[in-house]
Amino acid sequence: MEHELQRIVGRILRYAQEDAESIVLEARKSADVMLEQHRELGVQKATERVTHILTKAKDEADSIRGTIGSDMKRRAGWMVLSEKERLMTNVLEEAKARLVALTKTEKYVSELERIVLDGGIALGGGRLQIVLNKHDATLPLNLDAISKTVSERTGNKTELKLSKERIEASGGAVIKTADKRIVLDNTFEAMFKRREKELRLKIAGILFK
Amino acid sequence: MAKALNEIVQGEGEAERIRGEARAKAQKIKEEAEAKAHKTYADAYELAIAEAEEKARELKKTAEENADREAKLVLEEAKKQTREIRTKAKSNFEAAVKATLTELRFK
Repeated sequence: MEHELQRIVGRILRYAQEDAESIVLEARKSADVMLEQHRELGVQKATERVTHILTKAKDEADSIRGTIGSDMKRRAGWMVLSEKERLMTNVLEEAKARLVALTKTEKYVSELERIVLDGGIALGGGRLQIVLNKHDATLPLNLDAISKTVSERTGNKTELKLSKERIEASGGAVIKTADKRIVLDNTFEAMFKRREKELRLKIAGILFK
Repeated sequence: MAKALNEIVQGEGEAERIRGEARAKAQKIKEEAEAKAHKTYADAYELAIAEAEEKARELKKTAEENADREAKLVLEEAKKQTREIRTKAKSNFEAAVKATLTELRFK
């Protein structure tokens, strides 16, 4: 009888203990679920801002790539282009230097006569004045022969006269009509300046092929 | 018989005390969880934002590094082109000067 009683009381207490463990376990599970739900709610709430942060970052990254890329391509293009320009300028400077050197040779007289002839023909002949620099004015130019050739080529009686006026040029000539209404500047400096664009094109075609 | 009944009643009482303690403990767990819920929510929110900001920083850093790398390649290519241009220009210099003079009708 005593033994049976202890068994009954023991069972009552064991069941109570099991219930207690179950109550605590269930409470812990509920607490975990609730905390997990709140964590998910927090993540969910952040989603909009997270999307905004990442979209903005992607846009900025694209912008960085674009800006640095295009800036560097522009700089690289400019580097190559400016080097080409420098090298073409070297050629032009050398050509000018050789023309200046030419003025100190005997050959220059015939070249200057040719320049005057070309100018005379370009102006259509007639009464023309030739303006030269101080040095060239001393050269033995055959203006009569040139006048004759211009007359033949243009069909217009031509008279070329050396002007008393002097120009500041390294070589070449300025040819004017007698009334000074038409002026053709065929000095070296003017020829280079007038034709620089096409000369650079020509030079580029040869220099970089 | 009365003694047996008394012992069972005492056992039931003890059982009820055990369950009561468990319920109190469960209530405490619930209250602690409720108290912790707001912080968990805020922590999760802050963590998500912090991770996004870190990812954003990485994205921009990677973009800058890639762009710098590409920029260096472009610059290297330009330097190479410049060297090639100089070499060509050197060997074609005389022809270009002569062509310029010819263009201006000087022999």
